[in-house]
Order: sequence, then C-alpha cells, then structure tokens
Amino acid sequence: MWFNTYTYALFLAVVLPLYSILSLRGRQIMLLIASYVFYCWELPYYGGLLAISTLLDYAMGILIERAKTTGMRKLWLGVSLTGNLGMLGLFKYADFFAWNIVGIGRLLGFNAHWEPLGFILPAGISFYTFQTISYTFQVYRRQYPAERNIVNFALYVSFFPQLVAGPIERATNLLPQLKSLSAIRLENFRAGLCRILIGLFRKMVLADRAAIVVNGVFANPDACSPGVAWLALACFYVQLYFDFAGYADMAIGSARILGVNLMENFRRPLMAVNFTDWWNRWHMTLTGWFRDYLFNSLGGFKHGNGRAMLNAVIVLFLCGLWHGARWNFVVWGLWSATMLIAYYGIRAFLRKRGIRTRKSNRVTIGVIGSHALMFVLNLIGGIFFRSADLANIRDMLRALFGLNGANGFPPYLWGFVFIVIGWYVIEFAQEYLNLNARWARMPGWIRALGWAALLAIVALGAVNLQTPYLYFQF
Amino acid sequence: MKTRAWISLFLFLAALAGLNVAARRAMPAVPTAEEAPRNPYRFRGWPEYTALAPRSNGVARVVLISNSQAYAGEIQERRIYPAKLERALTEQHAGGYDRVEVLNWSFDGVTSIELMLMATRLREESPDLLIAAVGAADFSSFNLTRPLSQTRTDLPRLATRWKIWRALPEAFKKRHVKLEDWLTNAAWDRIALLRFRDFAWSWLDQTWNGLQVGLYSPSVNYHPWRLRSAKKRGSLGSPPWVKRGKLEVSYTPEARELVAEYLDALQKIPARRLLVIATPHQLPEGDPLFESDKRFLNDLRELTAERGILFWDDSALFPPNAFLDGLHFKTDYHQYYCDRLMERVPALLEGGR
Repeated sequence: MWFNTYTYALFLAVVLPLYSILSLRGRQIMLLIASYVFYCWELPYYGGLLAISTLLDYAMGILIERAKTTGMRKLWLGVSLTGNLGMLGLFKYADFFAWNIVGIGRLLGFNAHWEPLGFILPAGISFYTFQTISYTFQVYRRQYPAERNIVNFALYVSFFPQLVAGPIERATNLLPQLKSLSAIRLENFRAGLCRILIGLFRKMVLADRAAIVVNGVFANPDACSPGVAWLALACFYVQLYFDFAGYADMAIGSARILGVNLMENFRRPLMAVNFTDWWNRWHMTLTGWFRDYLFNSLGGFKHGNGRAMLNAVIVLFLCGLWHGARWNFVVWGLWSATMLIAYYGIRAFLRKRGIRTRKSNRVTIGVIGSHALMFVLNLIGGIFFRSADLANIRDMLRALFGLNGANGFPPYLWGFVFIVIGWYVIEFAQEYLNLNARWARMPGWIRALGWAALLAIVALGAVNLQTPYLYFQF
Repeated sequence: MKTRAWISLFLFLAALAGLNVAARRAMPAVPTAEEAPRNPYRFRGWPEYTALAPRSNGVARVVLISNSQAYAGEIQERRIYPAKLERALTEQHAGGYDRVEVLNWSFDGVTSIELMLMATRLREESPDLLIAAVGAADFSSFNLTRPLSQTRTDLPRLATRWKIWRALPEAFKKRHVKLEDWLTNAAWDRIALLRFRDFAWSWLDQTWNGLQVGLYSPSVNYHPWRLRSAKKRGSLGSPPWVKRGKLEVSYTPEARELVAEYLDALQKIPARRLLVIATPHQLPEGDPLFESDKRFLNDLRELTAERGILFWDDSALFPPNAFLDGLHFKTDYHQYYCDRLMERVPALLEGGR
C-alpha cells in the first residue's frame, strides 16, 4: 500500500477510530494486524517472509540474552545475521551474483548456465532486515534487553508507517514507545497531518514532476542537449530527495498521529559542506546503521587513517550494493568512497599545514562554494545511481558534454531550474535564518491559510502520473 | 488557546470550500450526446456526455460506439459521418420515424475497457439501433493489464457507479477495478478541485502548447480537455526525449477474450437491433500490423457468427492506408462512408415504429 493513495486514507480512517477505543494491549494487537494488512495489500506472500524474520530475531534475542558464554552469544548473533542476510541474499542478490559468476565462467571458457530464480523482490526487505539486525546487535551489545513479548516485538518489526522504506528504527527508540502507546492527542494529530501534507507535496508535486524529466532523459539521452542532460541530473537529485524525504514525512506524520516519534531520516542535504557532512544529513538512519554495525565493527578510525579509508571503501561499497543488485549501484558506492577519501586526504593535507577546517554557523563565500561543489559532485554521482546499465552511463556522459550533437532547451524546463533554486533557498533559510521557528511563531490564522494553500497546491499541482517510490525497490 | 485552534480549523476548511466552489464554477458545462454531434471536450466529461433524456415519440435513437474514425477531431463537427448519417436518416424518415438521432459515443484511442463501460452503461437504455464500429487497435492486448487510470477518457468514473459495477462481468472487474479506483472516483465525483486540475492544465497546455506532456501528464496519461476557447499564445516546445511513432496496438491471440467479452456485453443491451462493423482499415501486406489486423477480423467474424450478431466487414472499403488520413482528416471520406451506410442502415430501422 502506498501512502499517497486514497486506499491509505481509508486505511487510516479505519485504524485511527479503532486505536482510540481500544486498550493498550488491544491497540498493539490491532496495529500489528493493520501492519500486516498494509504490508500484504499487494502480494500476500510477502507477509510470510516478514513473519520468518520476526520469529528468527525474537528467538535469537532471547537466546543471546540467556547465553552464558561469549561464544554462545556470538553463535546466536551469527545465526541471526545468517538468517537475515541469507534471506536478503536469496531474494535480492542470488540472480545477480549467479549471473556474474556465469559471466566470468564463460570468459574462462566454461559452458556455464544459470536459470534465473525470478523472485519478485519483497517490498522493504532491505529495511526490515536491517532493523531486525540492529535489534539483535543491540541485545548482543547489552544496549537493550531482549523483548519477551512477541506482539511487542512483531509490532516493532512491522510497524506500518516505517515498514516499507524506513526510517530504519533502533529498538532503543521505537520499542519503548510501542510498549506504552498513548491515546491520540489533538496536537499530535494536527502535527502528524501537517507532516503528511508536506510529504504529499514533496512526493506528488515535486518528486513525481521531476521524474517526468528524469525518465525521459535517461530513456533517450542521445536526443538531449548538455543543458537538458544537466537539468535531468538536477531533477534526479530533486526526485530522489523529495521522493524519499516525502515518504519519510508521511511515515513520521502517520506515526506521530499515533503518538510515536520516529527518527528523522534527512536534514537539509543541500547544506552539506563536505561528504562526511552529507552522509550525516542523507538517509541518516541507514548511515547510522552502517556506522554502528559495520564501520565501527571493522575498527572505524581506531587503526589509523589508512585503515579508516579502507573501512570507508568497504562500507560504501556495501552501501551501494544495499541499494540494489546492479553494478551501477556498486559504481555509485565506489564513487562516494572516492569522494570521501579525497575529502579525508585534503583535510589531512590542510591540517598538516596548520589549516583547520572547522564547521561554523557563519555564512561565507567558502560555505556557499562548498554547497555548490557538493551539489555538482552529487549530480555526477546521480549518473551512476540512476542509469539502467553501463551503456546508459556512457550515453548520459556523452549528452552531458555535448558529444551527441543534440541542442535546444524547451523554455518550460526553466520551471525545474526554479524548483532547484527554491529548494536551495528554503534549506538555506531553514539552516541559517531559522525559518521553521519563524513559521511556528506565525499567528494561527496565517498558518491555517498556509496549510489550506498547500493542500490546494497538492490537489491542483500533483502530477497525473503515479511514480512508484524509488526506495521501495531497495 | 482552544478557541484559536477552532478558528484556525474553520479558516482552513472555509478556504478549501471556497476554492472548491470557485473550481466548480470555473469549469464549463458538458453537453449530452443529444445536444452535440460529438463530445466537444474529447477526453473529459464522458459521464455527463452519456447522460440521456427520455426519448420523445416519433424519434428513433441510434447509438454509435466507435473510435477516432467516428470522432474525427480534425474535421468540423457537422461534417463527420455520424452527424451526416443523422441528417440523412431524418430527411429520409427512415423506418417511418419523424426524426432519427444518432448519438456519437466515439473518441480517439478508445480501449476495450472504455468500450465495455459504454456498453454496460447502455444497458440502462433501449436504443432502436446500436452500432458498434470497432478496429483491431481498440482491442490491443495491452488492455488486458491496463489499469483504469491509464485510459484516456474519464469514462472509468462510470466503473464504480453501483448499477454499472454490478452489471460488469466478473473477469473485467477482477482485471481492472481496484479499491483505489472506487475511492478515486468517489473523490473526483465529489471534489471539483480535483477535476479542475485536469481542466486547468489543459487550459494552460492549449495556451502554451507543450506544458501538459512536459510538466503534468506524460505519455499514456495524456488526456486533456479539448478547449476551443483557450487562446493560443505559442508553443513552449515538446520534450526532446519524446520518441514519436509506434503505438502499442498489436492484437494478439489473448486479446480475443476482450472481443468476446465486448460482444457479450453488447448483446445484453436491450437494443432493438444490434450491428457490429469492422471499421475501414486496410493495411498493405508487409505492414507490421497486417497479421494482427487479419487475426482480429477473423476473430470478429467468428465471434459475431457464433452469437448470431449482424456483422458488416467494412475494413476494405477504403484503399490501403487511407484510414490514417481518410476518416481522420478528409471530409470526402465521411460523405462517402455515410452514403455507404445509408445504403444499408435504413433497413435496420424498419418495423420499429
């Protein structure tokens, strides 16, 4: 089920009154059932996988806690990791790896063959397996006690607002809230609806509109001039951000109505001044997951700069692969790793010469230049992220540098240029001019008219083309 | 504090209600098929256009369900063959009627989904003659999986009207009608602001050509209102990435199911006479769609014969390839086709009065 559908509105219209009249235990059971209905709406068999993952980590959590030796704890952690990553590997990566092995075999002269398994990728599998893994790690590290109540734990794994595309929650944040679900309160209801409205605007007006240009240009880059191709890259950045951030808004808003505060997933990515900063602002819950459970497990910064850089490469390689079983995602991960290493290198070089690169709240030419540089580097990264295959990357690069002979720039495309500029201006005002606080201080009637205007913009400006959420595919 | 919150809520709702009223007033009224020889807005306003008043005495009602050949959007509306046929039949007092009305339920890019909806809608009426003029393109196999939202007209708004939904075949409902369609239609029928969105974008597009495809509704979802009133101010250019050319129109063996389903639906209409015509559409051998067309004609011939439905094969009436510029663009072809119909149609109205 998608958030931006009438079906979801009806779903909420059924869930919320039920939630209001039930006791705590009743609410938990009802939300669990509702979450499975939400998840199985399109393909019911998905629910079986979700249940397997839930039962596995529920059992492993208890076994880890009961284990008397470190060896046993490690064993149960290993079983959890093998089960979750095995499921992810089977449904998401088996064909990809098999095809590559077959390809290498053929290059070496073997008569290799692979019959594709052809599984339909279960929606959100990458998200909920990571969420359950984080729980097992937290129990293993004694950061959170194993959950004994199966309903609470199953609800933690399947809580519908964040089930399909995150935020990837930690047990320490979500489980205590689910164990003490409170009644719906007016301020939560209002704040949740406003957040959902922002999400609808981001998804249906901005992201889906940018998708028109992105899909068109990436499907036929040979017909596009450099101006159109660069704009398409900017539009892809717009699409990717507003699609995913819009989804996160709707997830956070839906949970907020129920009195549950989910973790934030984005924090003004255009305001990033370097790659470390960018990763701290973009898909923050995934970044945090990789940092806590992979980067730090590999040693993090403990063993010197060289090892830290190697760790970063490993993490970003896997982060690329997490996004999908395609080489272009791997290339994107490696591109990100290269940029991060370059940043570390420059920083170390400057420090050696006594020049400190400190983040300040002051706006300088250097800061704005960093924003611009980060923007362009992310556009280039977008080529690898969005292209269907390596040939598509080549054609896009040809278009970007005018090697295909195409020219022209239809005037209405300027609308997209203004969207990008508007995005920057708003994030800038939020970051440096306290825009959100100023809006919150506005008189109630102005805010009411503002929200009505936003709803009218969504009703009138939404694109007549439903584009699937990009992150559903991951 | 609480009073302020209520005032804010009131203002919020009042602003939305005001916008909704303004949107309703801004949109034009849609004529019915009795009032206009074809739907002037082309893809929009179809539920309203198919509304029928009770028939008067001495008036014969002929309903023509067809495709772009009968819509002929590039030709002046009085000069298309359904309008000519109406005049000719009335002048001749065909079947002894004082007047014959030909209701033209046709439009460009019709799909079997929309044909089914119109046929089911007609079960509430009892025309004297029902003419279903079809071509292979109307039954593209893509229609087997096409969602309701990807049809060009707003006819899918009919799909969830209770009477029509109940009369639709189960297979059709299973293929096309989802819960989301019910909710979407309910919202669109009640909230003018949502319907106004299409209208406003169509107006903008016809004022500055290129906006609709580039900014609002690319490819299959492109279904603007046709607005003669919009003043053309120029073109903003079409998107460079759009590849012109091939439409998804191939008729595969699986699509036979769609033809059979449509014929069954036609038979359930309480019309006094039912006629199925294969529209003029002759392709030269070697054309990529030649085999697909031939297969369609064979199926249509077989399926109408099995059901005892009167069938005229007019597919070879025009020279090969003339269908593209023939009825779509040339008035002469409409006169010619009307004359050919006048040789045969009046006999079908005999004995009705």
